[in-house]
Amino acid sequence: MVKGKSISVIVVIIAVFVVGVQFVLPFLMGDFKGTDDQAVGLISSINPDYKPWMDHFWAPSGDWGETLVFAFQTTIGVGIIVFYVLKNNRKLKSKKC
Amino acid sequence: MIKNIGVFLCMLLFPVYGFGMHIAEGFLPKKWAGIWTIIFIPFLIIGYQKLKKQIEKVPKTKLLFSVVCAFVFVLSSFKIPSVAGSSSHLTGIALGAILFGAYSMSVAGVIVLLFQALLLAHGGITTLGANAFSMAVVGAFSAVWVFKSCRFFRVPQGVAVFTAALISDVLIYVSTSGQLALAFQSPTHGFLDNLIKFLSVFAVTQLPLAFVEGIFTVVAFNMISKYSKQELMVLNPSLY
Repeated sequence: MVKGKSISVIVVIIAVFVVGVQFVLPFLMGDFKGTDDQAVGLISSINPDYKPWMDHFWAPSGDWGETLVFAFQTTIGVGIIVFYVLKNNRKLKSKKC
Repeated sequence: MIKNIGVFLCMLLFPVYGFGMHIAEGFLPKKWAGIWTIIFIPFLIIGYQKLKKQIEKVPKTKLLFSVVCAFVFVLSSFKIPSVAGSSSHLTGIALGAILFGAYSMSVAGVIVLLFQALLLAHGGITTLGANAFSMAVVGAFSAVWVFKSCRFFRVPQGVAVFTAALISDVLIYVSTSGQLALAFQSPTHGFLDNLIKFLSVFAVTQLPLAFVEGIFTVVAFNMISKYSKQELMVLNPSLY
């Protein structure tokens, strides 16, 4: 129970950290254009008549919505990695004892 | 433990979320979207079967596979500024390919790409086959081949992992450039002409980031080798 709690606390701290960094960094680093956007621009210049034949069913609303979903993705990943590290670290320690 | 968590927290200092590699929804003509999907499906089926066998053989590898997927999840959510004011992201596919084999990463690739296409509107369902082929087939197989070649020439393991991750990362973007160049070739814009244009967008941005991917992959590989030695000795004895 205590082990579960400590893992949860670490995951929550990381999640808050990720979201916090997420909102601060764009102000510090400016806007770097993604290569996918550049590729879309290149397609338009190669074939100006090309129109995408499908659009996304759903997209997060606004930059903040997108940021939150990305932060959610990172948190899932980091959460699993932290769980793995803590679990195996305890196993190693108990073996040493 | 604190050191390992610290490494990942340091990684989190860099990201500005967004994407760089995926071909956007609807931006591949129907014919090519279909072709790449048909090409990718056999890799996915074989990958699923191989992964199932690996998990049946060593049930503890379930958590290890989750970690490999988590690594792809985390790295692919980082949009890192690169040269000439552009940005792109890492892929994280080489780690799993070296540990589990190239086919198994088809499953991890689809999980991550579906998540991003459905929830983040990055990539797309129509371009899933093409994006998955680049990331989970070209990326994974090149990582394994480079790693095995390096080990054949007795290159130290850490250097082999770094080189495999670096080359795999670059080749994923070369593959995406090739897919777009093929799809949009015309009498006025030939394949090679298009390829150079798309490579100038993707490869130039990606090269510096590939070094970063190599470093992160080595850190994660060392961590997993330390914690999951027993599982890996059964799963992939050639590592020891």
